Amino acid sequence: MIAAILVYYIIFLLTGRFRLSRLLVIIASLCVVAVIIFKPDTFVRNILLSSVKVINSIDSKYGNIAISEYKGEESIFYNHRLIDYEQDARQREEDIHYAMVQNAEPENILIISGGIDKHIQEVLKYGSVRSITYIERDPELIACTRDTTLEYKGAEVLIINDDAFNYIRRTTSKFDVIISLLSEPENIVTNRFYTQEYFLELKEILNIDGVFMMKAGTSSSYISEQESGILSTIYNSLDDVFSYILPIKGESLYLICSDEKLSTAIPELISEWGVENTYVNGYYLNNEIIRFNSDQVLTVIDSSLQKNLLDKPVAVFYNQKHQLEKTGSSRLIAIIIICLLLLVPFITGSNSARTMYSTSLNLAGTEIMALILIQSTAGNFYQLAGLLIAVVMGGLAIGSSSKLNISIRLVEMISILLGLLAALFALFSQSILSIRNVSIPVIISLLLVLIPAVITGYYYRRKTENSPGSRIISGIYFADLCGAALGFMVISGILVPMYGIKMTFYILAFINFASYITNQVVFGIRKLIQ
Amino acid sequence: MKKREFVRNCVLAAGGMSICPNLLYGNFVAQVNKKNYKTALYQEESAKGIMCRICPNECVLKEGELSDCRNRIVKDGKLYTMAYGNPCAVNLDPVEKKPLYHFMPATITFSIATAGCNLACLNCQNWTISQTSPDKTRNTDLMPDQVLSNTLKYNCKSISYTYSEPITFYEYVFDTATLAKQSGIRNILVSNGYINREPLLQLSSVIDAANIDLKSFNDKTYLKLTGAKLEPVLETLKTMKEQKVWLEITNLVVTEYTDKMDEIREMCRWLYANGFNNTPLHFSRFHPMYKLEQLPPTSVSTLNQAYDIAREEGINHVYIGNVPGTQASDTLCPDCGKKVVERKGYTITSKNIENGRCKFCNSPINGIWD
Repeated sequence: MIAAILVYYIIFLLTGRFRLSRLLVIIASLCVVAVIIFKPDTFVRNILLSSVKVINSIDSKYGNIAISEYKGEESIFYNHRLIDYEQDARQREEDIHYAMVQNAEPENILIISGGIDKHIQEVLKYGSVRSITYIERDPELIACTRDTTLEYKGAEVLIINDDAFNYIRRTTSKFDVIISLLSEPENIVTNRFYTQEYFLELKEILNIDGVFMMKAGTSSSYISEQESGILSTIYNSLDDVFSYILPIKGESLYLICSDEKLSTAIPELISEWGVENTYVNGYYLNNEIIRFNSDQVLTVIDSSLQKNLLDKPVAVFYNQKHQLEKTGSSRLIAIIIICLLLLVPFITGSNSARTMYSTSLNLAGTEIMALILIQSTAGNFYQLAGLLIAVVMGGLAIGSSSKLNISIRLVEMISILLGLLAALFALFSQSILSIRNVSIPVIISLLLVLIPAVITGYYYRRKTENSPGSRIISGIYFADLCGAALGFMVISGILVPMYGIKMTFYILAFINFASYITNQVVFGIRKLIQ
Repeated sequence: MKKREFVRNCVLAAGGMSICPNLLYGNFVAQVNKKNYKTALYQEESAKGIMCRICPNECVLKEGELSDCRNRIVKDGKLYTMAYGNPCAVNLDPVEKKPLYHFMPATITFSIATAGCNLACLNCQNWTISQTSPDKTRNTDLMPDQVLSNTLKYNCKSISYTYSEPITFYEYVFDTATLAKQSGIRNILVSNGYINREPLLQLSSVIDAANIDLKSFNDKTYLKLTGAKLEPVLETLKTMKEQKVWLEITNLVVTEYTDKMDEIREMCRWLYANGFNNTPLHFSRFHPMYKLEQLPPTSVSTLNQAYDIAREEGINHVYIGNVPGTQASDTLCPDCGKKVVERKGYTITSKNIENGRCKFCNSPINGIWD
């Protein structure tokens, strides 16, 4: 908005023509001044987080940090999710001690995300600890949560601003305990830290008797089907990597993994270490209950469920279903919309519209999968997502403005070309995901969308340039939008989580081939009838 | 395209699509066995259908319809409960976690719950079972006699009907509790107290202790937060006291909803005026949950204020819950003011009660201590 106002202001200064513009310029100037003085972001955050008083709002490269206050207590929201609050002894201690007590002599500790001061202080309760490496990608978050007057005594503390996956792939350090406190696998970005690929990389930097602990959802008296789905897919991914996995029900559900035997006798172990805790101790915890609950969790694990992989984010699928259950949303609406969109090629009847439909579906699907590839390898960058969309739009623009004159017979074979491209990407998708240099998958992803975008734009121009009436153009445009809508919905919501990136590319290839064959069959039948 | 072609294409496509839902989503729904159906108690025929008289919702249901609590159904003109012998949650808990501080302290209770609840609290911590029905949860086969044998197997002194809402699996609770009572096992009801008087009187005959959630003292807030009314809950408290069921009350202090001190004071005054001054009152800390995930947890200073108000208004046993390390977990003698029970977490670190009386001044300390 500010940019638009400034442009308008400049136009006025240069031309000085519009009378109305004088008034608008004054308003615009006032707006700019107001924006600078009153920081509307905090004002807007106060509306969005109406239950608390937002005292500061910071936009970092990775999201928004809102520092709020309610009845004298401070809490921090990260992208509107509560991540830190006062008097959180239970959570803070559970996050650290269930894992720490499992190792006989933890010296080198790696903490991935979580609160910097509070978690490091808990680790420092163990006299054997020599070094703590703390990874948090967002430096702004550290700046907001760290008490700079606080000194970490007794161990060397190394703070790293990096993506945890990249750090783990690169580092040569070895750790006795690794604790992952990242948020649940609610999207492709966070899902990376719950995949088998991640666990395998992580095992490489863990000492032989090392312990890894992570959160696997919330802990309640009952684990629902969706929660069991999340847990099972993560558990099955861990099962091939570690010899022992112990679930512990606390405020969250923790999974502790190691190649050494693990114990449920937490109160005894805490007592042996002589660690003074407020919650994780024998006053609150009981061995028998921990063991009973742990066994209960193991009974709900479905070993037949697919593993959670980078190119098959099954955990995200179950997580989204779990979140939808909360709002009571019915899948029926989504199913009806999908069915209606699937009806489009049958309704439109024209060959051109059918090809346009499958082409757009291919483009939308490829765009989603390119986004997944970027997020799975480089993490979450708003700028990269924006760049990807810009490449799609640019490709469409290049295609539709191209003066290239290919014979119409070749143009009709566009579905075959896109199908072949999708099949090619399917063949190489897993290799792309395993590339360690982040910039290569990013470049490949951008190219991945550019080609179908150019083809789609070109096809649209060729099919509409000599059209006699607006009806044909609008019909093709309708098919274009419907195909894209279907691609976005089905590929992100169903195909990728259920079948993975590779199979989804094959499905896209099949749709394009099927579209071409259908057109040929329809054409043949029409000829026979005539 | 002609109309006929359009219709034909639509029919063909719709036919093809009809298999989609099963392809996209597997059938995760658990089936409720016939053995989990039992004729519901307190049903009444009315002109509009069968009325369930268990709770103040008094659902009137036609053939095949489900009650508001989602576990009662009308089949062949009769009301059945679908929640009998099929708990979806089975756990061991310290009795202090219910919370019950004056009832068999430091013992472990065998906790069970089936799906279903007659309220729809925005902050429900058990929403995955309370807002659904038994045919959609993963259940365990546990008939009343098996509940009892498991209670004994795990050396538990009591059975707790808890987590979701035991009033909605009334028949299962009643039969299990009757059986348990005969074997010397105590029965605990952890409930929202939203029940009609007649069924409550019957249930009180087999229930030894109850923790009732008094969610707010403002009718509008009650409705907004839970979808229910306040008055029936207050009536439940009175009836349980009259029936000599050991009673403790929990007030979950929900940020923005129920953290108003004037309302807390009003609630404490009502409790005092109605003879609940010796009934333990637990102020519990709210954690962001279910549909209220955007709220911060209750500030500890708010809980401390509530504690002070309750003490000022004459409530003798006030506790703060869900705040590890809080000082407000000890039991004080109402007469001499000395600590008669000192607690750390769910553990009693010192106990100065003998035969239900303060060791220092011999005053009675209400509760069931052994």
